[in-house]
Amino acid sequence: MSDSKILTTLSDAAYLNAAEYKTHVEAVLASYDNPTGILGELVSQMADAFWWVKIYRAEKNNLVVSEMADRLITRTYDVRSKEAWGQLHDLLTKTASGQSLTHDEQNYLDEVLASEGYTLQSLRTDAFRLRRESFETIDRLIERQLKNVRLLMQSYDSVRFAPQVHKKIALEIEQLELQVKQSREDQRLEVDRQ
Amino acid sequence: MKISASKLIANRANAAKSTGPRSAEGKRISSENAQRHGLASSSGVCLDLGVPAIAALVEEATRLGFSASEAEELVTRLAAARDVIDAKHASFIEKPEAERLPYMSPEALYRTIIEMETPRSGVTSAERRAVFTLLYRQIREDNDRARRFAKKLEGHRKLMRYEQRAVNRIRKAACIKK
Repeated sequence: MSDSKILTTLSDAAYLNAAEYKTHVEAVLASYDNPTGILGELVSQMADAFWWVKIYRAEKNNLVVSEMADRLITRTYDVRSKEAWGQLHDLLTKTASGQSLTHDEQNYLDEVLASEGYTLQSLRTDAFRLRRESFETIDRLIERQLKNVRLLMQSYDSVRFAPQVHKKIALEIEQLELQVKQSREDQRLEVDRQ
Repeated sequence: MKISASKLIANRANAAKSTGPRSAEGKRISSENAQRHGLASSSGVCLDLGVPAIAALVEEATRLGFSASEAEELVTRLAAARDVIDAKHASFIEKPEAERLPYMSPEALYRTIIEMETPRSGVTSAERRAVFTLLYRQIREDNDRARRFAKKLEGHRKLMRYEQRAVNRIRKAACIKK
């Protein structure tokens, strides 16, 4: 994809040039046959809503894993060791995303879980319970983005079919005017005849 | 609640002294006194038709069959929604790694503050405590991803109503009026 492609003409903020964001928006624009102008802006805003859904979901997973690691590390060590926390975070991320752990990694994780009286499931439940408020906010934000997409899609359709609708309305008006003219003519003829 | 006659007279006299700006310009200026980001402004975005990109969008909307005022309205609403998107991205920017304070335990931080004091500096314990609290709060924030994320999330939560309004207005402006 070309670097010169402009995602929007209504802003020149730095985020529009971030590689990952740009690729994402360009992919969405491509799925709509690369519209430009008003339709391009609408699709670009839709892509932004999809972007945030992606970000919120990723952050939600990260928050669960971080909380799970916090539950284990803060209880196990007196001083919160950054390296140990990071290692545990990586292991829990792997487990959450369904990746397999090596024998040593699995042993280490089992050991830490057992020392705190947790199973993976109970730890996850605990993390969810503690972060419930944040998750509720994230869910509301995701819901908002989905509503935005729906409204922007409706706007996209309105603008896309505007020429046809305007033409149809013009024809209807013309037809109504003709009808009125005809009925007046008929009335005049009727009066003349009488 | 009833107030005494003297209080009533005093209130009326005080109210007569200053009742805010009187000219239209003064009223307009004071209406912007409490403005923070402008996203809540009822007048919305002021469209600059001198900008070629904006003029092109308005022209395109007119070509699509919208009346001149409808075309301007649609582009204004799109610009307002873009402002909200910009604000959302701005509130989600992470502080660069180099600008974050490294992790330090409370004991180590307190020790460092004391070690930095010279015999003649004359720092009181209350001042020392204030510096400690400020730095420790920042250290915690800089080293806790979840805390930073919660802050960003709060920013987005606050912007949600502006977002809702902006998109609803686009939908309304894009609707073809019979």
